[in-house]
Parts: sequence; C-alpha cells; structure tokens
Amino acid sequence: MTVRPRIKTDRPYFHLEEMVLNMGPQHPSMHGVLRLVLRLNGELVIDVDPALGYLHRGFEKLAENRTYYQYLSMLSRCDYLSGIFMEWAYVRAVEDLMEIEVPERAEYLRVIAGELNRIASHQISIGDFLLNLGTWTPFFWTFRDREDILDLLEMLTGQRMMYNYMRVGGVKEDLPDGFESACRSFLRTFPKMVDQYEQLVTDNEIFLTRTLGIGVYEPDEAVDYGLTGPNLRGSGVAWDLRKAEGYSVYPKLDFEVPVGRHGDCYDRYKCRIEEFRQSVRIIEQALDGLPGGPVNVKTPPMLRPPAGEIYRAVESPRGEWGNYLVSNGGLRPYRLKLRDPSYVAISTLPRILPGNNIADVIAIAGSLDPIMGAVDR
Amino acid sequence: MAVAREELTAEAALERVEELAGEHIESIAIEEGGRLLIRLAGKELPIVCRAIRDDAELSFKYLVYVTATDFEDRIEAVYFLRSINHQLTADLRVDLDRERPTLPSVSSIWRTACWHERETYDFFGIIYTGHPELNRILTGVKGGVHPLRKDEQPHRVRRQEWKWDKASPPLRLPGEPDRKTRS
Repeated sequence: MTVRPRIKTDRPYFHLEEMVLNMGPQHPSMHGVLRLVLRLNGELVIDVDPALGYLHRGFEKLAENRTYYQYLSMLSRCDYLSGIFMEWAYVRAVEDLMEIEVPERAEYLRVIAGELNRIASHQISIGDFLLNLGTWTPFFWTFRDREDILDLLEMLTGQRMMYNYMRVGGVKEDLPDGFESACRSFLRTFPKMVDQYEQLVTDNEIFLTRTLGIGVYEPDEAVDYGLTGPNLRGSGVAWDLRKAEGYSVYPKLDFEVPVGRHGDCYDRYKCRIEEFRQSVRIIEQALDGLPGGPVNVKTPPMLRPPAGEIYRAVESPRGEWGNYLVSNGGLRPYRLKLRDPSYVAISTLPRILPGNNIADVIAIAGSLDPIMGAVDR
Repeated sequence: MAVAREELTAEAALERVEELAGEHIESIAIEEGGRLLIRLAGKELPIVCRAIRDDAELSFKYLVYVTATDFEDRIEAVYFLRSINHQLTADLRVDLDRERPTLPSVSSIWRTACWHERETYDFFGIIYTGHPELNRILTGVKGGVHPLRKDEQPHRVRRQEWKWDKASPPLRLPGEPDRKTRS
C-alpha cells in the first residue's frame, strides 16, 4: 500500500459545500439567452444572480433616431412571440397622443389578430415549459397546432412572426378571402386540442409532483413585485388590463379572467390553459360581431404628434406591456420607454429560487415564461 | 385576493394625497384619463411614496415602471403607480440636476423598484442612494457611458470600441504558409 503525502492546508479536505454553476446563456431549458449564476449547496440553490444583456439591442435609443413609422416595424422583434401586442401598445400611444379615432372594424381586427397571437404565444410557453419538465409529446402537439395559427396570421398580415400589421389609425389591410372560414374551422377544432393537451399532462403524477407548491408567490408579494399577466393571476389577483382598463372593443366582448388560488407553477400553467379557451371565445364573438366599414384612417406618412407624453399599455400574453412615449412635436419620438412584463418576472428570481432544488429552477423559470428579446430590449 | 372595485374619483384621490403629504409635494394635478401628476423634490420621495402606498384608501401598491427622460437641461425621473383597488394611476416626477443626478432609492418600499432603478442607472446614470446593488444590468458598457442620455450617440460609441489591432489574425489552414513570413 502506497503512502500518500499529506499537504498542509487550512481548507477543508474536499470543498463540497458550495459550488457555482452557470446556467445559460446557451442552456436549452432557459428561454432564450437567460444566464443564471447559481450558488449551490449540493442540489439546493443558495443564491442566484441573473445576468442579462446578451440580447440588448438598444430599442429605446433606436426609437430616438427613427421616424414613428420606421420604428413600428422593429417592435415585433422585441418580444418575438407576441409581436402584435408590441405594435398595438405603440400605435395606441401614438393614436391617443394625436387624438386619432380608430374605425371600429379595425379594432375588431386588432382583437382577432391579438387573440390568435395570444394562443400562439401560450402554446410556445406551455410546450416549452413541459419540455423542460421532461415531457416531449406536448411540445410537438402545441407546435403542430401553432402552425395553423401562424398560417392564419400569415393570411391576415403577410408574415408568420414579424407582423407589422398595425398602423396608426387602424390596421394594414382588411381580412383576405377565405380567412373567416379558415379561422372558424380552426376555432372548431382547437378546443378539442386543448382538452388533449390537458389529458396528456394535467393529471400526470410526475407533472403534479414537479409543479404543485413549487415557486409560490403570495398575492401581496406578487403585486409588490409588479408581476402581471398569468403570473399574477396564478396568485389569485384578478387583474387584467382588458377588463380593468377596457381598451379597444374588449368591453363589448364576453369573456372571463381565469385566476389561480395557490400561486404555484401549476396554477400559472392552468391559467394559460384556461386563457386558450377564453381567447377562442373572444375570437368567435369578434368574428360574429365584425362590423363593416373602413379598416384604416388616412394618416400622413410622416407623423408629427403634438408635444406631450403618454403611457399606454396592453395585456400581452406575459402581462402588462406598456409604452411611455414623450414627444417634442418632432418627427421622431423624443423618448420611448418600453415596460416589459418578462423583465419584472425575472427580477423575482433572486427571491423565489433560493431554497429550491436545482430541478425546480427549470420549472419555476419556465412557468414565469420570460422572453429574453423583450427583457434585454 | 379579490380585487374590489370601489369607486374613488381622481378628485377625491387628489384631496387625499394633499391631506397625507401636502407639505412634501410641490404640485399636484389631474391629467388626461384621471392620472394624478405629482411633482416633488428628490429628498421627499420616500416619505410621499410610503404615505400613498400604505394609505388604505389610496393603496398605490403597484409600481409599474421607473424611468427617466433627458431634457438636455435637466433629467426628469418618472415613477408610474397603479392602485389596483380603484383604477387610479399616479405619476411621480422629480427634476434632477444633469451633472450629478441623485435620488433616494424606493426599493425598500416596492421590491420591483430594485431592477427598474438598476436599469435607469444603467441608461441615465442616476445614482440611487440606499440601493442594495446598484450596478449595470443591460448594457454592460464601461467607463461612465450612459447610453440614453441625449449627448451619447450610438454610432460614436461603437466606433470607439472597435480596434483593428486587437482583431484576431486570419486563420491559417494546415499546410498553408504563414502569411506574415511569406514574401
């Protein structure tokens, strides 16, 4: 038997207590380029430091160097899964600053496009979340059905993801031929698909173990952290800008705001599933009640809103997406602040992750559904 | 937590704010859409914020965003609040000196303020005193450059940072002679 010389050191023999682990920015289960610097004790997370900025493109500075219409086409690159809402909040701000009245048909078309986009965005959110938890099938099923929506949106806007559909004072163009029948046939089949997603996972033992009671936000805490969207409603706060502010034609439409009761990953998942069904209801009503008339009002190609400031927000799939716009009467925005719900959701991670297992980091980050294009802006 | 829909008009809210913190604010007005616009000095900010958040009637518990605007002669810091009980919104505005913009942090009042203030520090260079970790969050720019100030031009910053002599030499394939020594 060989005798191993012993090195004199005052450190513990094997330093196993703490370990620093970089999760991301290229980790497959992080949504985009989110990097979490985790300090671990075995499996347990002690501390987390999110490192952002990998996708920072300077959207707010770029707005100051572009005319109002030039900037409009960039916005859907911000949160690339729900581009309609990015454009919608921006045109709402510019319209209200210029006091432009939008035709009612245009508002209905915006609602249809927006709710289709909400379904597509939640499908990515749920499919990706379940993929991160280790189930493959829902991911393929949601992406399969998402293709139908992207086809519909392509008919409507000409693009699958980067829509550029909104215009100041309306939308780009009217419904194309065959859109309504295609949309109605999608709305007939889609609720059955949602039932199938639920049959796959919602009662699954492993899924329940991974999500029930994990990542709990108390209602007061969620409001204090500024969470919005399904993340807030999962905690039981029935706050939805579509109801609270009642912008566009949402007050005329009948729908419910699903809320959770426990504020954990499971309730956030269920809120999104339920929003599928509510969005289908909204689109059906919007198609039924679609009024005639123009879809756009004539605006000059170079907009000059009067000097002033305005904040307008819409309920995007991730929560309150807002634009704070300052105009000095010139051709370009003087200042544009983009208020992003994912940024706020990520800011809660240093509070919610410590004390959880490393496997739950994936579940919690996935259930908050951040999109790094919008976080980094 | 059910969100109650009690009616509190903007006029009543204005009176309530004046009653609570009238001596700490400079001016208060009702803007379009019933938004309260409150202007105040920087040092009074935590007192006013705590008063209007903790008041059961107003309960501005929801801080939507923190940002600033550079007006070239001054920097205006903006805090946008919502009261989800009453459909009320409020805007707090503080005018700051452009050379040394300093404000007390409100991250101990609303926890969401922590990252919003980091972002505003990153973009505008506003120093929030009492902030737990005031460092760059999005840009990662070094050397006192705060890109959303009006005197920072994006193309100029990029040109400064790119140096040809630091670029890596061209890749040499196996068997290929070294390009430097080849005459």
